[in-house]
Amino acid sequence: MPGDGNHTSGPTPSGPAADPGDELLAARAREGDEGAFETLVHRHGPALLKLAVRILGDTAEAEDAVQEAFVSAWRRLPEYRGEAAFRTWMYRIVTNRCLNQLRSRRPAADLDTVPEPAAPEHEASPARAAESTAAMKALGTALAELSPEQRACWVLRELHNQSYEEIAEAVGITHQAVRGRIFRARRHLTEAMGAWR
Amino acid sequence: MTTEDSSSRRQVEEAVAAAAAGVPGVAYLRPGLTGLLRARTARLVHGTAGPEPVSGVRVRLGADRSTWQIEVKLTTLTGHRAVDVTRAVRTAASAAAGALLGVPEARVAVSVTVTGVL
Amino acid sequence: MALNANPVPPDDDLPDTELLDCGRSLESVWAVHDAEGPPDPHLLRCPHCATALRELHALDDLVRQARSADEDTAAADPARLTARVMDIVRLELRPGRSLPLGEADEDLWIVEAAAAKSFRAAADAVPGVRAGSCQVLPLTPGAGRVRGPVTVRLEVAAALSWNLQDVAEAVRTAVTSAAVQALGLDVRAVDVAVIDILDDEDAPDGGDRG
Repeated sequence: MPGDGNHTSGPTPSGPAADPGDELLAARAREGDEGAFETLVHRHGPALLKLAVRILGDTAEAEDAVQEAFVSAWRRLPEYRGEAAFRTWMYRIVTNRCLNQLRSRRPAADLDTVPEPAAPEHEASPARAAESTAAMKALGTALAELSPEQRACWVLRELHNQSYEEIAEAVGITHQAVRGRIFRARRHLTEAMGAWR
Repeated sequence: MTTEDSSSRRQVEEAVAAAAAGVPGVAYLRPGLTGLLRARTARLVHGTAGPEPVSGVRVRLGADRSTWQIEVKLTTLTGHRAVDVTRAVRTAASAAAGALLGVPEARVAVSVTVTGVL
Repeated sequence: MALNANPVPPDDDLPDTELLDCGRSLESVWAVHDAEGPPDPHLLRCPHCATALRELHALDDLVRQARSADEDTAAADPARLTARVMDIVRLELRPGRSLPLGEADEDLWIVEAAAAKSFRAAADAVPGVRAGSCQVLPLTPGAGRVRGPVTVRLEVAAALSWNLQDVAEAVRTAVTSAAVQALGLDVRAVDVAVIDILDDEDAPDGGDRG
Protein backbone atom coordinates (compact mmCIF):
# COMPACT_ATOMS: atom_id res chain seq x y z
CA MET A 1 0.00 0.00 0.00
CA PRO A 2 1.54 3.33 -1.00
CA GLY A 3 2.50 5.69 1.77
CA ASP A 4 0.82 8.91 2.63
CA GLY A 5 0.89 12.32 0.98
CA ASN A 6 -1.03 11.41 -2.18
CA HIS A 7 -4.49 12.24 -3.36
CA THR A 8 -5.70 9.87 -6.05
CA SER A 9 -7.82 11.52 -8.69
CA GLY A 10 -11.33 10.10 -8.78
CA PRO A 11 -14.39 10.44 -6.66
CA THR A 12 -13.04 8.96 -3.45
CA PRO A 13 -10.44 10.97 -1.55
CA SER A 14 -7.67 8.96 0.07
CA GLY A 15 -4.73 9.63 2.33
CA PRO A 16 -4.57 12.17 5.11
CA ALA A 17 -5.87 15.71 4.51
CA ALA A 18 -2.64 16.87 2.89
CA ASP A 19 -3.42 20.28 1.56
CA PRO A 20 -3.21 20.48 -1.45
CA GLY A 21 -2.60 16.97 -2.77
CA ASP A 22 0.52 15.95 -4.65
CA GLU A 23 -1.10 15.60 -8.04
CA LEU A 24 -2.56 19.11 -7.94
CA LEU A 25 0.85 20.47 -6.96
CA ALA A 26 2.55 18.46 -9.69
CA ALA A 27 0.10 19.85 -12.26
CA ARG A 28 0.96 23.37 -11.13
CA ALA A 29 4.68 22.69 -11.05
CA ARG A 30 4.54 21.22 -14.54
CA GLU A 31 3.23 24.59 -15.74
CA GLY A 32 6.07 26.46 -14.06
CA ASP A 33 4.70 27.17 -10.57
CA GLU A 34 7.98 26.89 -8.69
CA GLY A 35 6.24 27.53 -5.37
CA ALA A 36 4.20 24.37 -5.84
CA PHE A 37 7.40 22.47 -6.64
CA GLU A 38 9.03 23.75 -3.47
CA THR A 39 6.13 22.34 -1.47
CA LEU A 40 6.68 18.96 -3.13
CA VAL A 41 10.41 19.05 -2.35
CA HIS A 42 9.67 19.97 1.24
CA ARG A 43 7.08 17.23 1.53
CA HIS A 44 9.02 14.35 -0.01
CA GLY A 45 12.64 15.34 0.59
CA PRO A 46 12.94 13.72 4.03
CA ALA A 47 11.73 10.25 2.97
CA LEU A 48 13.84 10.32 -0.19
CA LEU A 49 16.91 11.34 1.78
CA LYS A 50 16.41 8.41 4.13
CA LEU A 51 16.09 6.08 1.15
CA ALA A 52 19.25 7.38 -0.49
CA VAL A 53 21.26 7.23 2.74
CA ARG A 54 20.26 3.59 3.23
CA ILE A 55 21.14 2.61 -0.32
CA LEU A 56 24.35 4.62 -0.68
CA GLY A 57 25.59 4.45 2.90
CA ASP A 58 26.87 8.04 2.73
CA THR A 59 24.98 11.19 3.79
CA ALA A 60 26.75 13.67 1.50
CA GLU A 61 26.31 11.45 -1.54
CA ALA A 62 22.69 10.89 -0.60
CA GLU A 63 22.00 14.64 -0.47
CA ASP A 64 23.64 15.11 -3.86
CA ALA A 65 21.67 12.24 -5.38
CA VAL A 66 18.33 13.48 -4.08
CA GLN A 67 19.10 17.07 -5.07
CA GLU A 68 19.90 15.98 -8.62
CA ALA A 69 16.81 13.78 -8.66
CA PHE A 70 14.56 16.73 -7.82
CA VAL A 71 16.22 19.01 -10.37
CA SER A 72 15.83 16.28 -12.96
CA ALA A 73 12.18 15.92 -11.96
CA TRP A 74 11.61 19.67 -12.43
CA ARG A 75 13.05 19.46 -15.94
CA ARG A 76 11.07 16.35 -16.83
CA LEU A 77 7.78 17.51 -15.33
CA PRO A 78 6.41 18.65 -18.69
CA GLU A 79 6.44 14.99 -19.74
CA TYR A 80 5.02 13.71 -16.44
CA ARG A 81 1.39 12.90 -17.07
CA GLY A 82 0.51 11.45 -13.67
CA GLU A 83 0.59 7.80 -14.78
CA ALA A 84 2.27 7.05 -11.49
CA ALA A 85 1.79 9.02 -8.31
CA PHE A 86 4.36 11.80 -7.97
CA ARG A 87 5.86 10.16 -4.90
CA THR A 88 6.27 6.85 -6.75
CA TRP A 89 7.84 8.69 -9.67
CA MET A 90 10.36 10.32 -7.31
CA TYR A 91 11.18 6.97 -5.68
CA ARG A 92 11.92 5.65 -9.15
CA ILE A 93 14.20 8.57 -10.04
CA VAL A 94 16.09 8.48 -6.73
CA THR A 95 16.55 4.68 -6.73
CA ASN A 96 17.75 4.82 -10.31
CA ARG A 97 20.23 7.57 -9.48
CA CYS A 98 21.54 5.74 -6.43
CA LEU A 99 22.05 2.46 -8.29
CA ASN A 100 23.79 4.34 -11.12
CA GLN A 101 25.98 6.01 -8.55
CA LEU A 102 26.95 2.63 -7.11
CA ARG A 103 27.52 1.30 -10.62
CA SER A 104 29.86 4.18 -11.39
CA ARG A 105 31.96 3.40 -8.33
CA ARG A 106 32.73 -0.06 -9.67
CA PRO A 107 32.16 0.10 -13.40
CA ALA A 108 32.88 -3.54 -14.14
CA ALA A 109 30.59 -4.83 -11.45
CA ASP A 110 27.04 -6.03 -11.83
CA LEU A 111 24.52 -4.56 -9.43
CA ASP A 112 23.18 -7.95 -8.47
CA THR A 113 26.48 -9.33 -7.29
CA VAL A 114 27.92 -8.66 -3.90
CA PRO A 115 30.91 -6.36 -3.46
CA GLU A 116 34.20 -7.80 -2.23
CA PRO A 117 34.28 -8.04 1.56
CA ALA A 118 36.79 -5.22 1.90
CA ALA A 119 34.94 -2.91 -0.50
CA PRO A 120 36.29 0.60 0.12
CA GLU A 121 32.95 2.35 0.05
CA HIS A 122 31.83 0.60 3.19
CA GLU A 123 34.80 1.73 5.21
CA ALA A 124 35.30 5.18 3.73
CA SER A 125 31.92 6.66 4.51
CA PRO A 126 30.07 4.75 7.17
CA ALA A 127 27.57 7.50 7.79
CA ARG A 128 24.63 5.18 8.17
CA ALA A 129 21.43 6.78 9.27
CA ALA A 130 20.77 5.04 12.57
CA GLU A 131 23.74 3.94 14.62
CA SER A 132 22.35 4.61 18.04
CA THR A 133 22.23 1.02 19.24
CA ALA A 134 24.43 -1.98 18.67
CA ALA A 135 21.51 -3.77 17.02
CA MET A 136 21.08 -0.90 14.57
CA LYS A 137 24.80 -0.94 13.85
CA ALA A 138 24.65 -4.67 13.18
CA LEU A 139 21.66 -4.22 10.88
CA GLY A 140 23.47 -1.45 9.04
CA THR A 141 26.56 -3.59 8.55
CA ALA A 142 24.50 -6.55 7.38
CA LEU A 143 22.66 -4.29 4.91
CA ALA A 144 25.96 -3.08 3.54
CA GLU A 145 26.90 -6.67 2.81
CA LEU A 146 23.98 -7.09 0.44
CA SER A 147 24.25 -6.44 -3.26
CA PRO A 148 23.01 -2.96 -4.26
CA GLU A 149 19.87 -4.37 -5.85
CA GLN A 150 19.10 -6.56 -2.85
CA ARG A 151 19.60 -3.60 -0.54
CA ALA A 152 17.48 -1.28 -2.69
CA CYS A 153 14.63 -3.80 -2.95
CA TRP A 154 14.67 -4.60 0.76
CA VAL A 155 14.82 -0.94 1.85
CA LEU A 156 12.03 0.07 -0.53
CA ARG A 157 9.87 -2.77 0.77
CA GLU A 158 10.55 -2.75 4.49
CA LEU A 159 11.29 0.91 5.19
CA HIS A 160 9.21 2.63 2.53
CA ASN A 161 6.22 0.29 2.02
CA GLN A 162 6.56 0.22 -1.73
CA SER A 163 4.66 -2.49 -3.59
CA TYR A 164 6.45 -5.15 -5.63
CA GLU A 165 5.27 -3.39 -8.79
CA GLU A 166 6.65 -0.06 -7.65
CA ILE A 167 9.94 -1.65 -6.64
CA ALA A 168 10.22 -3.45 -9.97
CA GLU A 169 9.77 -0.12 -11.77
CA ALA A 170 12.17 1.69 -9.48
CA VAL A 171 14.96 -0.85 -9.76
CA GLY A 172 14.33 -1.83 -13.37
CA ILE A 173 13.87 -5.56 -12.88
CA THR A 174 10.92 -7.93 -13.03
CA HIS A 175 8.38 -8.45 -10.27
CA GLN A 176 9.70 -11.98 -9.87
CA ALA A 177 13.27 -10.74 -9.61
CA VAL A 178 12.19 -8.34 -6.85
CA ARG A 179 10.81 -11.23 -4.82
CA GLY A 180 14.08 -13.06 -5.31
CA ARG A 181 16.19 -10.08 -4.20
CA ILE A 182 14.06 -9.54 -1.11
CA PHE A 183 14.22 -13.22 -0.21
CA ARG A 184 18.00 -13.26 -0.50
CA ALA A 185 18.22 -10.02 1.48
CA ARG A 186 16.05 -11.35 4.29
CA ARG A 187 17.96 -14.59 4.32
CA HIS A 188 21.22 -12.79 4.85
CA LEU A 189 19.77 -10.39 7.40
CA THR A 190 18.14 -13.10 9.51
CA GLU A 191 21.39 -15.06 9.48
CA ALA A 192 23.45 -12.01 10.35
CA MET A 193 21.16 -10.94 13.17
CA GLY A 194 20.96 -14.52 14.43
CA ALA A 195 24.74 -14.78 14.54
CA TRP A 196 24.93 -11.38 16.22
CA ARG A 197 22.46 -12.34 18.91
CA MET B 1 24.89 60.04 -28.35
CA THR B 2 24.51 58.50 -31.74
CA THR B 3 26.77 55.48 -31.71
CA GLU B 4 25.77 52.12 -30.39
CA ASP B 5 28.89 51.49 -28.35
CA SER B 6 28.34 49.27 -25.37
CA SER B 7 29.12 51.81 -22.66
CA SER B 8 26.48 54.24 -23.92
CA ARG B 9 23.99 51.47 -24.22
CA ARG B 10 24.82 50.41 -20.69
CA GLN B 11 24.22 53.92 -19.39
CA VAL B 12 20.79 53.94 -20.97
CA GLU B 13 20.01 50.50 -19.55
CA GLU B 14 21.01 51.64 -16.09
CA ALA B 15 18.92 54.80 -16.35
CA VAL B 16 15.89 52.86 -17.53
CA ALA B 17 16.38 50.29 -14.78
CA ALA B 18 16.56 52.99 -12.13
CA ALA B 19 13.45 54.73 -13.47
CA ALA B 20 11.51 51.46 -13.65
CA ALA B 21 12.54 50.30 -10.20
CA GLY B 22 11.15 53.49 -8.73
CA VAL B 23 7.64 52.92 -10.05
CA PRO B 24 5.14 51.90 -7.34
CA GLY B 25 4.18 48.25 -7.66
CA VAL B 26 7.50 47.14 -9.09
CA ALA B 27 9.09 44.50 -6.85
CA TYR B 28 12.29 44.18 -8.83
CA LEU B 29 13.71 43.90 -12.31
CA ARG B 30 15.26 40.65 -13.17
CA PRO B 31 16.43 38.97 -16.27
CA GLY B 32 14.21 36.24 -17.58
CA LEU B 33 15.76 33.00 -18.75
CA THR B 34 16.71 34.72 -22.03
CA GLY B 35 18.75 37.32 -20.19
CA LEU B 36 20.77 34.78 -18.26
CA LEU B 37 21.38 32.59 -21.29
CA ARG B 38 22.42 35.59 -23.35
CA ALA B 39 24.88 36.73 -20.72
CA ARG B 40 26.43 33.30 -20.37
CA THR B 41 26.65 32.82 -24.13
CA ALA B 42 28.21 36.24 -24.58
CA ARG B 43 30.89 35.42 -22.05
CA LEU B 44 31.56 32.09 -23.71
CA VAL B 45 31.72 33.59 -27.20
CA HIS B 46 33.67 36.73 -26.38
CA GLY B 47 35.73 35.17 -23.66
CA THR B 48 35.70 38.28 -21.55
CA ALA B 49 34.35 38.49 -18.07
CA GLY B 50 32.46 41.67 -18.82
CA PRO B 51 30.30 43.45 -16.28
CA GLU B 52 27.04 41.76 -15.32
CA PRO B 53 24.28 42.77 -17.70
CA VAL B 54 21.75 45.20 -16.28
CA SER B 55 18.95 43.17 -14.76
CA GLY B 56 15.74 43.09 -16.69
CA VAL B 57 16.55 45.78 -19.28
CA ARG B 58 17.66 45.47 -22.87
CA VAL B 59 18.32 48.46 -25.15
CA ARG B 60 19.14 48.35 -28.84
CA LEU B 61 18.73 50.41 -31.97
CA GLY B 62 15.89 49.12 -34.13
CA ALA B 63 16.21 47.84 -37.69
CA ASP B 64 15.19 51.23 -39.07
CA ARG B 65 18.29 52.68 -37.36
CA SER B 66 16.26 55.55 -35.88
CA THR B 67 14.00 54.04 -33.25
CA TRP B 68 15.41 52.75 -29.98
CA GLN B 69 13.88 49.47 -28.78
CA ILE B 70 13.75 49.09 -25.03
CA GLU B 71 12.63 45.92 -23.34
CA VAL B 72 11.88 45.79 -19.63
CA LYS B 73 11.10 42.62 -17.65
CA LEU B 74 9.99 42.87 -14.07
CA THR B 75 8.17 41.34 -11.15
CA THR B 76 5.20 43.25 -9.75
CA LEU B 77 3.74 43.29 -6.27
CA THR B 78 0.26 41.94 -5.54
CA GLY B 79 -2.08 44.73 -4.70
CA HIS B 80 -0.98 46.71 -7.75
CA ARG B 81 -2.80 46.15 -11.02
CA ALA B 82 -0.30 44.76 -13.49
CA VAL B 83 -1.46 46.86 -16.44
CA ASP B 84 -1.19 50.09 -14.41
CA VAL B 85 2.32 49.23 -13.26
CA THR B 86 3.49 48.38 -16.75
CA ARG B 87 2.00 51.59 -18.13
CA ALA B 88 3.80 53.65 -15.51
CA VAL B 89 7.03 51.79 -16.23
CA ARG B 90 6.64 52.44 -19.93
CA THR B 91 6.22 56.17 -19.27
CA ALA B 92 9.18 56.35 -16.89
CA ALA B 93 11.45 54.28 -19.11
CA SER B 94 10.55 56.26 -22.20
CA ALA B 95 11.29 59.57 -20.48
CA ALA B 96 14.60 58.39 -19.00
CA ALA B 97 15.85 56.87 -22.26
CA GLY B 98 14.71 59.80 -24.39
CA ALA B 99 16.49 62.26 -22.14
CA LEU B 100 19.77 60.33 -22.10
CA LEU B 101 19.69 59.56 -25.82
CA GLY B 102 18.65 63.09 -26.73
CA VAL B 103 15.80 61.92 -28.95
CA PRO B 104 12.06 62.66 -28.87
CA GLU B 105 10.02 59.98 -27.10
CA ALA B 106 8.43 59.06 -30.40
CA ARG B 107 11.76 57.54 -31.29
CA VAL B 108 11.75 55.34 -28.18
CA ALA B 109 9.66 52.14 -28.25
CA VAL B 110 9.26 50.53 -24.85
CA SER B 111 7.96 47.01 -24.31
CA VAL B 112 7.23 45.91 -20.75
CA THR B 113 6.65 42.30 -19.63
CA VAL B 114 5.61 41.08 -16.20
CA THR B 115 7.58 37.91 -15.57
CA GLY B 116 6.39 37.35 -12.02
CA VAL B 117 4.03 38.55 -9.33
CA LEU B 118 5.19 38.67 -5.73
CA MET C 1 29.84 -8.35 17.33
CA ALA C 2 29.99 -11.48 15.25
CA LEU C 3 29.03 -11.02 11.63
CA ASN C 4 27.88 -13.59 9.22
CA ALA C 5 31.02 -14.53 7.34
CA ASN C 6 29.11 -16.24 4.51
CA PRO C 7 28.84 -14.10 1.40
CA VAL C 8 25.39 -13.47 0.01
CA PRO C 9 24.80 -15.57 -3.12
CA PRO C 10 24.48 -13.54 -6.31
CA ASP C 11 21.05 -12.97 -7.78
CA ASP C 12 20.46 -15.40 -10.61
CA ASP C 13 16.70 -15.17 -11.00
CA LEU C 14 16.30 -18.90 -10.29
CA PRO C 15 13.65 -19.75 -7.76
CA ASP C 16 14.95 -20.08 -4.23
CA THR C 17 14.69 -23.70 -3.23
CA GLU C 18 16.04 -23.59 0.27
CA LEU C 19 14.25 -26.20 2.33
CA LEU C 20 13.78 -26.43 6.05
CA ASP C 21 14.41 -29.71 7.82
CA CYS C 22 10.71 -30.49 7.74
CA GLY C 23 10.72 -30.30 3.97
CA ARG C 24 8.86 -27.02 3.62
CA SER C 25 10.50 -24.30 1.56
CA LEU C 26 11.70 -21.30 3.51
CA GLU C 27 10.12 -19.08 0.91
CA SER C 28 6.66 -20.57 1.45
CA VAL C 29 6.91 -20.16 5.21
CA TRP C 30 7.91 -16.55 4.87
CA ALA C 31 5.11 -16.05 2.37
CA VAL C 32 2.65 -16.93 5.13
CA HIS C 33 4.24 -14.23 7.28
CA ASP C 34 3.74 -11.79 4.42
CA ALA C 35 0.10 -12.93 4.18
CA GLU C 36 0.87 -13.96 0.65
CA GLY C 37 0.41 -17.70 1.16
CA PRO C 38 -2.55 -19.66 2.53
CA PRO C 39 -2.59 -20.32 6.29
CA ASP C 40 -1.07 -23.72 6.97
CA PRO C 41 -1.82 -25.82 10.04
CA HIS C 42 1.61 -27.45 9.71
CA LEU C 43 3.20 -24.18 10.80
CA LEU C 44 1.54 -24.32 14.18
CA ARG C 45 3.11 -27.65 15.03
CA CYS C 46 6.48 -27.61 13.31
CA PRO C 47 9.48 -26.34 15.31
CA HIS C 48 11.54 -25.69 12.16
CA CYS C 49 8.89 -23.48 10.64
CA ALA C 50 8.34 -21.79 13.97
CA THR C 51 12.04 -20.93 14.15
CA ALA C 52 12.00 -19.55 10.63
CA LEU C 53 9.02 -17.36 11.48
CA ARG C 54 10.56 -16.24 14.74
CA GLU C 55 13.70 -15.08 12.94
CA LEU C 56 11.60 -13.06 10.57
CA HIS C 57 9.67 -11.50 13.44
CA ALA C 58 12.93 -10.57 15.13
CA LEU C 59 13.96 -8.86 11.92
CA ASP C 60 10.60 -7.06 11.85
CA ASP C 61 11.34 -5.64 15.29
CA LEU C 62 14.65 -4.32 14.06
CA VAL C 63 12.95 -2.81 11.03
CA ARG C 64 10.52 -1.00 13.30
CA GLN C 65 13.44 0.33 15.33
CA ALA C 66 15.24 1.33 12.16
CA ARG C 67 12.17 3.19 10.95
CA SER C 68 11.82 5.24 14.11
CA ALA C 69 15.56 5.77 14.31
CA ASP C 70 15.43 7.13 10.78
CA GLU C 71 12.69 9.49 11.97
CA ASP C 72 14.83 10.88 14.77
CA THR C 73 18.17 11.16 13.06
CA ALA C 74 18.76 14.33 11.08
CA ALA C 75 21.79 12.89 9.35
CA ALA C 76 20.88 14.47 6.03
CA ASP C 77 19.46 18.01 6.02
CA PRO C 78 16.09 18.38 4.28
CA ALA C 79 16.09 22.18 4.64
CA ARG C 80 19.43 22.49 2.93
CA LEU C 81 18.23 20.10 0.24
CA THR C 82 15.16 22.25 -0.47
CA ALA C 83 17.24 25.44 -0.62
CA ARG C 84 19.79 23.96 -3.00
CA VAL C 85 17.14 22.47 -5.27
CA MET C 86 15.18 25.73 -5.45
CA ASP C 87 18.32 27.77 -6.20
CA ILE C 88 18.76 25.71 -9.34
CA VAL C 89 15.06 25.57 -10.22
CA ARG C 90 14.80 29.37 -10.05
CA LEU C 91 17.44 29.60 -12.78
CA GLU C 92 15.30 27.36 -15.00
CA LEU C 93 11.83 28.80 -14.76
CA ARG C 94 9.19 28.16 -17.38
CA PRO C 95 7.48 31.47 -18.05
CA GLY C 96 5.20 30.25 -20.85
CA ARG C 97 3.80 32.44 -23.60
CA SER C 98 3.44 36.22 -23.20
CA LEU C 99 -0.14 37.46 -22.90
CA PRO C 100 -1.30 41.00 -23.72
CA LEU C 101 -2.08 43.54 -21.00
CA GLY C 102 -4.12 46.64 -21.75
CA GLU C 103 -5.33 47.77 -25.19
CA ALA C 104 -4.55 46.17 -28.52
CA ASP C 105 -2.01 48.83 -29.47
CA GLU C 106 -0.04 48.79 -26.20
CA ASP C 107 3.19 46.85 -25.94
CA LEU C 108 2.58 45.50 -22.44
CA TRP C 109 2.67 41.80 -21.52
CA ILE C 110 2.46 39.29 -18.75
CA VAL C 111 3.91 35.78 -18.95
CA GLU C 112 1.45 32.90 -18.65
CA ALA C 113 3.07 31.56 -15.46
CA ALA C 114 2.52 34.90 -13.68
CA ALA C 115 -1.08 35.24 -14.87
CA ALA C 116 -1.78 31.62 -13.91
CA LYS C 117 -0.37 32.27 -10.44
CA SER C 118 -2.87 35.13 -9.94
CA PHE C 119 -5.76 33.05 -11.21
CA ARG C 120 -4.86 30.05 -9.07
CA ALA C 121 -4.63 32.32 -6.03
CA ALA C 122 -8.08 33.71 -6.83
CA ALA C 123 -9.51 30.18 -7.13
CA ASP C 124 -7.75 29.05 -3.93
CA ALA C 125 -9.45 31.93 -2.11
CA VAL C 126 -12.86 30.38 -2.83
CA PRO C 127 -13.71 28.25 0.23
CA GLY C 128 -13.41 24.50 -0.37
CA VAL C 129 -11.47 24.90 -3.62
CA ARG C 130 -7.87 24.07 -4.52
CA ALA C 131 -6.58 25.05 -7.95
CA GLY C 132 -4.50 22.75 -10.11
CA SER C 133 -3.57 23.20 -13.72
CA CYS C 134 -4.20 26.70 -15.14
CA GLN C 135 -3.60 27.58 -18.77
CA VAL C 136 -4.14 30.95 -20.43
CA LEU C 137 -4.51 30.91 -24.20
CA PRO C 138 -5.18 33.55 -26.85
CA LEU C 139 -8.67 33.20 -28.28
CA THR C 140 -7.24 33.42 -31.77
CA PRO C 141 -4.04 31.44 -31.79
CA GLY C 142 -1.05 32.69 -33.69
CA ALA C 143 2.69 32.30 -33.82
CA GLY C 144 4.68 34.41 -31.36
CA ARG C 145 2.99 37.02 -29.21
CA VAL C 146 -0.64 37.73 -30.08
CA ARG C 147 -2.63 40.73 -28.88
CA GLY C 148 -6.28 40.03 -28.23
CA PRO C 149 -8.63 38.48 -25.70
CA VAL C 150 -7.70 35.26 -23.93
CA THR C 151 -9.38 32.24 -22.47
CA VAL C 152 -8.54 30.65 -19.13
CA ARG C 153 -8.69 26.89 -18.52
CA LEU C 154 -8.59 25.88 -14.89
CA GLU C 155 -8.74 22.54 -13.10
CA VAL C 156 -9.73 22.47 -9.45
CA ALA C 157 -10.41 20.12 -6.60
CA ALA C 158 -13.59 20.99 -4.73
CA ALA C 159 -15.13 19.92 -1.42
CA LEU C 160 -17.84 17.29 -1.72
CA SER C 161 -20.43 19.69 -0.35
CA TRP C 162 -20.15 21.94 -3.42
CA ASN C 163 -22.68 21.64 -6.19
CA LEU C 164 -20.69 21.31 -9.43
CA GLN C 165 -22.34 24.18 -11.25
CA ASP C 166 -22.14 26.50 -8.26
CA VAL C 167 -18.44 25.90 -7.67
CA ALA C 168 -17.61 26.39 -11.34
CA GLU C 169 -19.53 29.67 -11.28
CA ALA C 170 -17.81 30.81 -8.09
CA VAL C 171 -14.38 30.07 -9.53
CA ARG C 172 -15.28 31.72 -12.80
CA THR C 173 -16.31 34.88 -10.95
CA ALA C 174 -13.12 34.88 -8.89
CA VAL C 175 -10.92 34.47 -11.96
CA THR C 176 -12.75 37.15 -13.94
CA SER C 177 -12.40 39.58 -11.03
CA ALA C 178 -8.69 38.86 -10.78
CA ALA C 179 -8.30 39.41 -14.52
CA VAL C 180 -9.85 42.86 -14.22
CA GLN C 181 -8.65 44.01 -10.81
CA ALA C 182 -5.26 42.39 -10.40
CA LEU C 183 -4.04 42.23 -13.96
CA GLY C 184 -5.81 44.14 -16.71
CA LEU C 185 -6.03 41.08 -18.95
CA ASP C 186 -9.01 40.73 -21.36
CA VAL C 187 -10.42 37.34 -20.36
CA ARG C 188 -13.35 36.35 -22.55
CA ALA C 189 -13.98 32.81 -21.29
CA VAL C 190 -13.15 30.80 -18.19
CA ASP C 191 -13.43 27.00 -18.43
CA VAL C 192 -13.53 25.31 -15.03
CA ALA C 193 -13.18 21.55 -14.65
CA VAL C 194 -13.61 19.94 -11.24
CA ILE C 195 -11.21 17.03 -11.38
CA ASP C 196 -10.97 15.90 -7.78
CA ILE C 197 -12.77 15.95 -4.47
CA LEU C 198 -11.45 17.55 -1.31
CA ASP C 199 -12.39 16.14 2.07
CA ASP C 200 -14.55 18.69 3.83
CA GLU C 201 -11.85 18.71 6.51
CA ASP C 202 -9.51 20.12 3.88
CA ALA C 203 -11.78 23.05 3.21
CA PRO C 204 -10.94 26.11 5.30
CA ASP C 205 -14.48 26.22 6.64
CA GLY C 206 -15.51 22.59 6.09
CA GLY C 207 -19.20 21.89 6.23
CA ASP C 208 -22.29 22.51 4.15
CA ARG C 209 -22.32 24.87 1.32
CA GLY C 210 -24.48 25.47 -1.75
